[in-house]
Amino acid sequence: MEPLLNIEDLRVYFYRPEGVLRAVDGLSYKLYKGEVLGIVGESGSGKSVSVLSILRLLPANGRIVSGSIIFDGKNILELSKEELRDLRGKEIGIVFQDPMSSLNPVITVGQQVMEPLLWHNLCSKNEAYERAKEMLGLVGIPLPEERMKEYPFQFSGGMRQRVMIALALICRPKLLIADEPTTSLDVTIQAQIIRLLKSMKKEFGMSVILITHNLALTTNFCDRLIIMYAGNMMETGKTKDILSNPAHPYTKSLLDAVPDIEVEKELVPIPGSIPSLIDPPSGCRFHPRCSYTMDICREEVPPLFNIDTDHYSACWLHRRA
Amino acid sequence: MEDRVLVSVKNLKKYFSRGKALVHAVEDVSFDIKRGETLGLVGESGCGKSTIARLIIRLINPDGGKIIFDGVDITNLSEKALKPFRRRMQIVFQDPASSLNPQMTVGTIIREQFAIHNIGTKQEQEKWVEELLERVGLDPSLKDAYPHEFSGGQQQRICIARAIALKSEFIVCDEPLSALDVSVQAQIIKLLEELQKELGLTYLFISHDLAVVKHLSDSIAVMYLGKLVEYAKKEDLFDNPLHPYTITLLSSVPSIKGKEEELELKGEPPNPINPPKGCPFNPRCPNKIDICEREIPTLDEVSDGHFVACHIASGRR
Repeated sequence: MEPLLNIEDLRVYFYRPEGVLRAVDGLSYKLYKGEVLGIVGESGSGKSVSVLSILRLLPANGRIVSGSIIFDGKNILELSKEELRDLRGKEIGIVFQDPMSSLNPVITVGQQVMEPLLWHNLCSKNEAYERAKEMLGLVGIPLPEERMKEYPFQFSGGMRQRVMIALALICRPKLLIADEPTTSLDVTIQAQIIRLLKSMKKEFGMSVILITHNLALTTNFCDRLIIMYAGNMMETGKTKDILSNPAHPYTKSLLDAVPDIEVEKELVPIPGSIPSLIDPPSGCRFHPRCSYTMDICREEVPPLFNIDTDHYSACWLHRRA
Repeated sequence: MEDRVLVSVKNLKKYFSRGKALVHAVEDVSFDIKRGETLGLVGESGCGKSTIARLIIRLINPDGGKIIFDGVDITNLSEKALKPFRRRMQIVFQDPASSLNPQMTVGTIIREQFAIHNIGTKQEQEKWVEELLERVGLDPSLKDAYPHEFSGGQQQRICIARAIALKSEFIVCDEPLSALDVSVQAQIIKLLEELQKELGLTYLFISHDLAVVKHLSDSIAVMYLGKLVEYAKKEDLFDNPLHPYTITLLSSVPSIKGKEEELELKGEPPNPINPPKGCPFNPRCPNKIDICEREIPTLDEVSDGHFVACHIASGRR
């Protein structure tokens, strides 16, 4: 089967006065139609940068220095500005962490949800109004017709995130990217939003990339996971395989270090802190914090080793003698 | 048992005026914290948990109720009379970067504690600063560095060093992990646990992260819209939650084990300017009956040390 999204050897660097920051350094993955992929990592792992690259929304000092991003047969890195605009919002929708700063404060919510349809010339104004109303109802906004006349500040955080989801889905995109969509929300509202994303996935069948720092959030939603650390992929596989049988020392330590409401355990902290990506550690970027470090870890970047079906881990421990 | 209680609040109230309206931030909250134990205070944003943090160490003054510290009513003490108590209670805030003065070296920031309370000679203070930095896992030679030279986790260690400098007994931790990366959070949790064991500290640990609260606390108080809705020993609260809000809250927390059946909490917290009549949770409650819209439920003890403010749950005893 042809993947919907195929990323190969992506490298994204930021040019800062202090030096070159290697935010994503050689990332490859595929996403198939209808699949939900979770990209998990801490701040600075490159998880957000890797998806902003798909939409070519990097800040001015960020550059894709190598690699390829093929989306639905098109090489995104070769698209013109006009072609990119056709893609954004229509074929790929995105939901960001903070809905307040993603919505325009001086335009009514109704107009904002209608905008992608009108901008991409997909229908008449009347039809756009009807479709926006229907979509707002679908994402769980009570009295959609009345609330379309209101402004974002009149909505609560959770309701704003529902508006963002309606906006991202209004053109029926093939891919929905959700970048930490629940991080600024309370836990009961987080559960509502994840439930909504799941039901929207069922309704429209699009592929989804969920970006999160919270491994537990992926359990009931994501088919497959990518664990990132300091710009590199550490491990990838089916969600249940990674959670029940983690292979990479980073994934294992993350599971040991984070308290879980259902698991009674002694916490084992990961020593040290996240490295600078301007001068990243040599070899495996996790080696200074890893408890299994060998000589080769300091010298060579580990490739992805096959652990099991569809389960790969970038760690020298898996190398067979 | 009573004498083991270090901190106790009784019918605590705090209102903030916002234009002509009154925000009911804390409404009639009572609980005890035993010496050497940790009380976890949980609830969603805006429920009043940080206001309690500030009230309990008198950073702000209550509009009603009492705060008892080690048997003494400190609610209305003057600043001067309060000073000996200030030494005994400390707070660690969420964002370490903004709670450390960027223009002072780390050594000066910690030494300030001794200077304010006139303790020790300059040499002694210098020695204590080094010991404190070492105790929280930092290189003592870094005392002449400025806060911005440290990572977030290290900055939080500095805040903790400052909080234990005066051998305080009681430390309020107000979301101390929220600004930190997940791989660093466990380091700070461990440090807080070790210090508690070593120094016999009593914590009020405020967090929206129930997994962390479960890990650290002995007792847990659940707040909703300025009120305490449930209060129990940790095991009782997690094994046998009684308030419908607690039940849905616990069910909303994701786990790597997955959740068999998630309960969905409909709607969102109401506005504290205009709280609903009767039980604050009634507009969202799945079990609501007539009385819930009319009468505010009292916090009743339904079994040993397990308190709940719910007309239905408390009648179940």
